[in-house]
Amino acid sequence: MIVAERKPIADIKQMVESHERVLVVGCGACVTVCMAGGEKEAEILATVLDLAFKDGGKQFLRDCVERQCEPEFLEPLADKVDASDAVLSMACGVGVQTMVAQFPHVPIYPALNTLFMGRPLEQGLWSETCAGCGNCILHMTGGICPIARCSKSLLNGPCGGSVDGRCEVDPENIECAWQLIHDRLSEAGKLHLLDEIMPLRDWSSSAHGGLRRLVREDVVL
Amino acid sequence: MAADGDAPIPGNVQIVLVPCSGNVQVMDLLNALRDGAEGVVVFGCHDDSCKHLVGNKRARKRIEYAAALLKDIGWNPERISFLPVSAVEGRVFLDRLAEVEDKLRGLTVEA
Amino acid sequence: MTEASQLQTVLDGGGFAVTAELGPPKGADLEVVRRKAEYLKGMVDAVNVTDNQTAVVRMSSIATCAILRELGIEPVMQMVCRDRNRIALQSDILGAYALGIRNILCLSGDHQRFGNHPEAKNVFDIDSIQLIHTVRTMRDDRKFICGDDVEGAPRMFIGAAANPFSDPFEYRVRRLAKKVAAGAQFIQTQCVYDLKKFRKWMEMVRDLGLHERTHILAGITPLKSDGMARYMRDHVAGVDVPDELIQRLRAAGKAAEEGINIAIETIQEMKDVEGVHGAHLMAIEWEKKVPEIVERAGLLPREAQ
Repeated sequence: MIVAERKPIADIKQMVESHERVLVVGCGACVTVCMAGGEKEAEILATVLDLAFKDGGKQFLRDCVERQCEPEFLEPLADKVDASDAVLSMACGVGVQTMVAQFPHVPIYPALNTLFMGRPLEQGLWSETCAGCGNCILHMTGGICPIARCSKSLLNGPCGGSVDGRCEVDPENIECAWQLIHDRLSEAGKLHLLDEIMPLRDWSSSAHGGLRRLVREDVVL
Repeated sequence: MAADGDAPIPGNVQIVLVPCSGNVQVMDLLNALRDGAEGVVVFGCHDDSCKHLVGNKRARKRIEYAAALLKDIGWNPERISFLPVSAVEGRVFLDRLAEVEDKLRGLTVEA
Repeated sequence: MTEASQLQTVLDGGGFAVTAELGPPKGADLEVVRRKAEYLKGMVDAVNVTDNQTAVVRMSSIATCAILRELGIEPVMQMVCRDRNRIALQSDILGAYALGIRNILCLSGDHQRFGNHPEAKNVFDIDSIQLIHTVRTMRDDRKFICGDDVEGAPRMFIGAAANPFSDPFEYRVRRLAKKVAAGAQFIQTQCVYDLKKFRKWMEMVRDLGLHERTHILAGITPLKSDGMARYMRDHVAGVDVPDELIQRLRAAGKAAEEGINIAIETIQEMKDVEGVHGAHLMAIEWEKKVPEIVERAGLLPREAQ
């Protein structure tokens, strides 16, 4: 899922400072799961802003939609948005921009910093897992992604900085992805897969290749 | 127990009963302040005594989180707090309440 | 420019090679390079020039190598994959050869978090093994990685680094085999203090027959004090310093002298390890000690360049 966290309150305050009526909109998808921008968090943020601007005459309304990245789910917000000077979107960057496309005449501000695609390791801890590279090689690396989880995205790792299964960039928090790959393949009796040199990667399918689009002709009418 | 004792609960204190301090949400704390309370104190069980195992832990964490939010907007984070008390500590409960009242009186409305 | 790499000549000729390392200055001052180079001239077969080591911005490796050439010293140009993509790397390989550089050491590169510009975007378009393959493709197939012809092949002597002390220990040699298969003709190891572990690693190297396909140069870094030894053990990934060495340094009257003694002893040991064909001296910011080490280790004279 997409993992995000709320921006510092000070930054958010600055965004809304010049507006009188602000609509705080949560999103029911990923940001609810990582507790950054769901219905509960939208309520909390709106109330904190109420307290912050107490006696200032500002109004902070709140709402939440199932997913902010689908125009159909945003249509019902139209009246509320029209009645507001600004919107604080608590969705990921995709949600914010979908709101912008849907409501081009109202400033839409991002209340969150979108961080990464990742998974929970334990309650309250999420870790980056997928880099969205466009050409998945998980079947060749024992199901562990070296592009997202190796600090240097090596394809023929590990580098000399792998010690005790930890990555030298941050040994306390980062496991060496190549140690993990090695261990998994070793356990499966497939370590020989790593004897092959993985060739230079075609990065054009990744974000480096330019803005990506996907068309499904079979559903385009 | 305090209610059964001789000393009454002070009149400017609003009591909200919950089955476990772990039921208290961040919104409850913020709403109380927004509705005009000068402070909120959550009384919960002592460490390792929670019948629901981690209810008091959750309460403490949420109070920490809400206090940090207060700090972010320039309010005094000490306006909300967690105090451990057991069911038999009626006197302690009243004493603590009085202490909190004194403390809050000493704080300015903001910061 | 058709002269062959001096380092290659010594190694392929069966000799025991000696290389040293030179860190370029954090500025554009040529004099710093000249001063350091003076200690090394005639003392070693070739001098490695680091490439923004530890992600700290320094004078570029290619420029510093060109300066060393002018000073009559044979350089080994280190190239990391952190800062440049395959376009820039292939371009620099051509430029380096045109400037008379004949040796390349292919490295992944330290992550930018360690350096003085941690906010920079990194590249890592290719990794060190793919870089070795790239240089070989340009040299032997006369082609760029994309398949276009290279007009004027860069006839480089290709090297890589190896760390016998990092993990996974048993896998390290298999990865070394990949580097050799990709085209690594010489290997410089991380500095050696734990001779027992190093010998174990060399045994595994020999088991795979790699010592016959590539030249291994053991890394040697003289320790100045027990403090330095402990720092390296605790903070430099993959550097293991046995307690006996730390004790020796602590007990010595002049720790720095003892450190030099240890370095020389290590070189002597290396001469007897089958498959080790040289020593790579990394006397970081202590280049002036290289002449003494080389002389006392019985490695002089070196071939005139």
